[in-house]
Amino acid sequence: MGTEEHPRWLVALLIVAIGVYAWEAAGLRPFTVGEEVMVALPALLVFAGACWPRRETETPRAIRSSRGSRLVWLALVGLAFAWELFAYFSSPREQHPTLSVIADEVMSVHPGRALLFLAWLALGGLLITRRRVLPR
Amino acid sequence: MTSRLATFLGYGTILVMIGVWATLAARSPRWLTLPDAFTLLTRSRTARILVVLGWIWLGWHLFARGSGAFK
Repeated sequence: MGTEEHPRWLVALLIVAIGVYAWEAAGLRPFTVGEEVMVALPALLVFAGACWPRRETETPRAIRSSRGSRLVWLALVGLAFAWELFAYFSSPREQHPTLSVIADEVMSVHPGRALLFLAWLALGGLLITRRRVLPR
Repeated sequence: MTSRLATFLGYGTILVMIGVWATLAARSPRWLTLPDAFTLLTRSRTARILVVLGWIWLGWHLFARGSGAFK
């Protein structure tokens, strides 16, 4: 978030507003128009942000980053994917919960649902606020 | 140890490994950080839109469609 361009109070206000939004969205039930609107609004904003043309600047760290450090990320993602597959193809599900089952359990309470909604919003923000584009 | 506990420990261990690596990577100028990995992943507009569509799908199924959406 651009703390150099925006005053801190504005950033703090935005964070609080996003937190309140997540809490309110978590209070609504699936398959209701209200919840669909609460999900669709940030989805449309982030999608528009992803489509918006942007000024290209460099990401020095990403350019200089070692191949080994990229491989470590790939290995970690691969490990998580493999573990999820292992759980998915094991049974019974009660003894081998997948990430979606764990998500369901976390979302069975309001704070857990709000926390996951907040994490989803944060991920969406991360996808469009990292504006720096690498040279081809 | 039950299978359930072992499965949770597996997820937990991977999560800790990601956290430790993200912290270490942020301290070295030559290692790829997590935000920079996202930048690499979404450097072209097409890739960015595809990733965002995946993110929208995830949010819709988790929250708008709710429990059991993946079953």
